[in-house]
Amino acid sequence: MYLINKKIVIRSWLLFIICGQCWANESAVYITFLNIYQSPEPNYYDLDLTFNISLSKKLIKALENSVPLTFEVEVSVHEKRDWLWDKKIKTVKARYLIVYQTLSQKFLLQNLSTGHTNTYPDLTQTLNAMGKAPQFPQVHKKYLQMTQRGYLKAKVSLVLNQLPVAMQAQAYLRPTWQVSSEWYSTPIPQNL
Amino acid sequence: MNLLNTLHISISRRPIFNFMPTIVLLMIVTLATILMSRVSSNADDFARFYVPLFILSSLGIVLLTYIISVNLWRLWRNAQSNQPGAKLTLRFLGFFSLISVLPLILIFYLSIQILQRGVDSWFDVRVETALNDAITLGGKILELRQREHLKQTELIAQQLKNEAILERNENQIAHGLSQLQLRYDAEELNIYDKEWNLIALSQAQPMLKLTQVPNQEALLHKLQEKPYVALHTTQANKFYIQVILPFTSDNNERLFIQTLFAVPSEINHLARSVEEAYDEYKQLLFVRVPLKRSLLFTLILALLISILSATLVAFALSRRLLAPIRDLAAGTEAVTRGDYSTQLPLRAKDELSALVQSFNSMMKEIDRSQQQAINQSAYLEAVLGSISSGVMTVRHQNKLQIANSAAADILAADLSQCLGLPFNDLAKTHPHLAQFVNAVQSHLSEQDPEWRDEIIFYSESERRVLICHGNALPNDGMVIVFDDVTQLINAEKESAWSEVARRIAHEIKNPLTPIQLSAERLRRKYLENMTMEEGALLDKLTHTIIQQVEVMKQMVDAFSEYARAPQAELISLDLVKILDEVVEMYCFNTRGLTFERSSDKQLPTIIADPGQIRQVLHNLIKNVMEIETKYPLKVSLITRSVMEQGKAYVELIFHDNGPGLPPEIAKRPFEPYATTKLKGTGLGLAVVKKIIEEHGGHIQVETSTENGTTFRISLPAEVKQDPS
Repeated sequence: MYLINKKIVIRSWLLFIICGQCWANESAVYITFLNIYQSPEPNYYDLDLTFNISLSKKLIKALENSVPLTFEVEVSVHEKRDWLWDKKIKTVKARYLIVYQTLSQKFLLQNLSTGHTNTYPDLTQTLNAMGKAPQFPQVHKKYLQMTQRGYLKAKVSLVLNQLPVAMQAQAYLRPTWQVSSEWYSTPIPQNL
Repeated sequence: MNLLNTLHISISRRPIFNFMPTIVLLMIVTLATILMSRVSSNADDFARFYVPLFILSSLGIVLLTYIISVNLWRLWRNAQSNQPGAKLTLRFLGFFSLISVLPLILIFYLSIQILQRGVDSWFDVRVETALNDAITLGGKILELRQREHLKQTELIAQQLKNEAILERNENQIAHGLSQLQLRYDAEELNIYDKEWNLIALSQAQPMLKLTQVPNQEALLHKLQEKPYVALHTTQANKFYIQVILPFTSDNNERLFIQTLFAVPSEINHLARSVEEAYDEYKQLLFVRVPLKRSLLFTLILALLISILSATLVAFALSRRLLAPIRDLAAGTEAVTRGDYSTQLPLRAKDELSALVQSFNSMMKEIDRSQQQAINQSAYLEAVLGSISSGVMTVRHQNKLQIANSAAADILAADLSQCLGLPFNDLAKTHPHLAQFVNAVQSHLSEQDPEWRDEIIFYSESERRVLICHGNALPNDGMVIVFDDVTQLINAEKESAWSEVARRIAHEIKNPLTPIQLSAERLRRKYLENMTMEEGALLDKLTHTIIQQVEVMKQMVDAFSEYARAPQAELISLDLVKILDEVVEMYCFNTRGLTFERSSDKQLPTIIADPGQIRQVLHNLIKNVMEIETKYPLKVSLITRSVMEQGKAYVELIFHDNGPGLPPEIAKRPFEPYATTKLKGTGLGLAVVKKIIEEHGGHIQVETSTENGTTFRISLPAEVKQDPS
């Protein structure tokens, strides 16, 4: 009886927190597709990842006020285990920077890993371009040997410690600034 | 000064560990202060040191709060338990804290005002206007260049059409495009068909790929109607202008020409500089509120550290300042507990130190006086202990203050338990003293300055007579001195009885013989001449006279014997052997009296006259045999070794299961003529007592109808001479 009551209380709290987060946070990001396929380059695999992202008014206002926003896309290779927690084999990350350029009145998207940049006339196009995770790092074949029980996990989030320091404290404390997708997971195809 | 030591927080006994927490705390606070100073003076440092500052400050605050909380809790607990100096320290702490906190709060308020104005002063309307104008100007210049490059692209398109360059072969097309690209100083010149397939291109730097056309489909759709001009940024942070222009070729084919022009480096540099300044300003404007909050937070951290540090210092100061007062309070409390040996430490050379010194001198003096008083008391106690009279003092609302050992012995009571209690309570704790207490209490109530009284009380069935004197003490109370005169009175009585016995023996014994002889002569002379009846009467009468004279003779002999006790011949004697002999004689008695014996194994010998000891035993056994009961009588004889007042005695417990002594005898069992028997002289127990006392012993009797009678005879054990 006591356990049931405890569970109900915990669930109610979680629901309350999630609802509170949804109400407070207009930004949303969710991964729509994640796959892996053989790269033209031998012994390497390309990751194909797409995600949809929309920013809150607060973040858009920050961008328009020349505050650069850095997003991190993280993909990790895991191996399922029977009696232990799953083993993380490899993690690959890519960081994308979005900056508004005043003179050209365009949004700059830069892959911080490669340095490659591109400009877009509006934010929607910029976010769409970032949503395809261009020039995402490849994964070496050796990390995908356990294809029987392997799976991929991905997550997209705004990197708060790259914001101006004065904003970091409030960014950590306020849910408006915490843009992060749920973990998206998909099994590694058998026919790799 | 080691703060933590002062605050009684010790980590270890080793000195280095005692200082460690203080050093760490000081380092944290100092580092936090330096960081705070740098953070508030430089924006770059703010970014760099904000997180370490936050961590350090938080750590310092947590540590300080912990130390202060622990000390406050201890101080509060001490104050609650009325520990000396705790409440005063608490008050001083509050006072010091108030003194330090009030200016800090004032400074904090002023700092907030300065901070607000300082941050707001970064944002000037004129600067903002200038930057806006500069960015507008930069935009206009780049817009002009875009228009210029659009015109140039239109001219290129016109020339391509006029010179029919696109109708030539590939080499000629490439050559023509290259000529046009160089002529108009374009970075790239590309020709696309309507499907946006590249037909021809010319590049100033073939390896440099400037950009891709954004959102091609949408752009294509738009380009159906009008030209596209846009400003882009390269990876190397350089501006370039992209122009896409639709045009129709000679053979009516819809084509697109794309030109890319680099912005001159000087303009590029200036425009970039203006843009960067504008962006920074806008960003600063955007983060103004969070920045103020962050700085305010930093200030609050500084304030908290300052307040906590001030409180900690206030703790240390109040403890240090109040240490002599605390010592004095503790010393005074020790005095109230009766500890006069306390000496307080001298902590500094100031007025308080002089006070402490005076206290120490005073304590030494009191200690010496106390010692003297103790010595005097011990002396008085020794004197009182050595005298045979009982001495008691009653003071302070009739409370028993002093009672010497003789008093306890005489009253047969443990008076040490009654010291400090009201005098009346003696009767509650020792009911046999009720008569004594009542008698003394009456004099105490009347407050007689001097009185004398004879008090009789019964101790363990023994009647005791005390001669008491009472004298009022100078301020309050009374001293009562009393002597047990029971033995003296008994001796006097015995002496009187001996005299009576001697006189009786003397006066009565003399006429007895002529009476007896006369009776015998009467009988002899007249019996033969009388008739049978008269003869029988005469015989009966003379026989009665002779018998009664014989009885009187025996009685006179007994009195004579009591009066003239023979000189004792003392020898070393084994009491058990004497008992054996006497009991042997009564083993086959007609009364059915039985004996039960027990004795200590190592029983010492006694110095006694064996004849007299036998007499004692005979008298006691004869008394038992004369008891008339319906049940068989039994006598228990227990011999054992006992110590009384440091002297060894051999005790004989003579117990019978008879109905006990008659009440009138029980009051004075050892007095001569105390008897209820028709033929008894009442001298048996008197002789027993006399013999025992002549042997240096004593006898007590306990009697009751249920338990019979018990005589406790104690005779001094023989003191063996040490052969060495």
